[in-house]
Amino acid sequence: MVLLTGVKGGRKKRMTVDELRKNIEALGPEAYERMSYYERWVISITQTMVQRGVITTEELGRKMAEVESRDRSKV
Amino acid sequence: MKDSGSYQPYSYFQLMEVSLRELLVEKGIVSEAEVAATVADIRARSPERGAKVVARAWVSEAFRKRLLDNGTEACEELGLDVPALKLVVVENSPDVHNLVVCTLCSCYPRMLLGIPPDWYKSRNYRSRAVREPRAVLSDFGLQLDEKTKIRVHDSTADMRYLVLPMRPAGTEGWSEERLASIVTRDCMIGVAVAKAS
Amino acid sequence: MTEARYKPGDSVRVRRAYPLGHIRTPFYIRGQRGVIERLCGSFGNPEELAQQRSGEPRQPLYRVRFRQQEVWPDYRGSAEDVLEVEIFQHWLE
Repeated sequence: MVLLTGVKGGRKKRMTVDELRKNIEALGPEAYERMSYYERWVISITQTMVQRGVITTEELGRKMAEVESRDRSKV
Repeated sequence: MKDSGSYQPYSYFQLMEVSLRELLVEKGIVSEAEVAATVADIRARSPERGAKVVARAWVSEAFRKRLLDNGTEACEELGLDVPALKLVVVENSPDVHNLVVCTLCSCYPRMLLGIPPDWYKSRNYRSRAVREPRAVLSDFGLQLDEKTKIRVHDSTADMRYLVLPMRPAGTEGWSEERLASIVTRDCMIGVAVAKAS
Repeated sequence: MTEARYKPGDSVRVRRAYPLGHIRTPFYIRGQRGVIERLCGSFGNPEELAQQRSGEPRQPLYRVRFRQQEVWPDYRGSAEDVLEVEIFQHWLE
């Protein structure tokens, strides 16, 4: 989570706190029951990046698969 | 962050977080150095920074006035790096007790207090602090005099609030450092008061 | 930048409206009457910023003070207890 906040702190203004809050609100009220503070923020930051066209969902999907297989190979 | 003791595979959200960070670094949107610097900044923020401000206000009447007039400038005077913080300091007195909440999310002067505690972010606190502040304070073990008025601040916009607690009796002649040591995060949010013990 | 219509001491009421989108005027305060405590300054409109728009023209933001006993019908506490909320001009009337 802290790593992701580091990303938010990048020089170029890639997102506003307003967009991030909107994306958390868009998760719906059940999100507060089901998800932790950290999880809501991860989704929100990622969604904002996708909305802004900084990353595509395909890139994200591929990267997540790559990170997962790297992670699994540590066992 | 992963526990180095036992292996835990990344959760879905951790996968997403790591992936996003790697993608942004690959695309040159942030550098690893920027991420590391921001992480270090965040780690450096702790309630000690806020405590330093309070202690100075307790010893210097002139600083206290400047702090109440323009919180951000007063912090910068003390050498605290608080870019983009629009700080409003609200002062406790025998007549008025201040309490800070963000009902809409969990806004909070992170630059002076560090990461907010889980209870501050909880729906319980966020809904009850505006509706029944006295009951909330009572849950924290703080009983206010009936005659003390409570002023609750809901930080809905860009301003961030810091409570300037009353200096307790029994601290006469203390150094600023010693005074700062009794100023807790909770008394700068308003759910506690500073005590000389 | 939009001009400020109110000054400290003015009585205002928060509009009772429930549009969709990102709104920073809490539900509990909509329709309530309060008094302007101060003009905080002018800021980009968060409702617009949330939709990736510029948030211009900047809107005046006020700190508005409400009496707890007026906001909550079953409020138990001092009659002097207050609640202060920052509200954008376009939500006030």
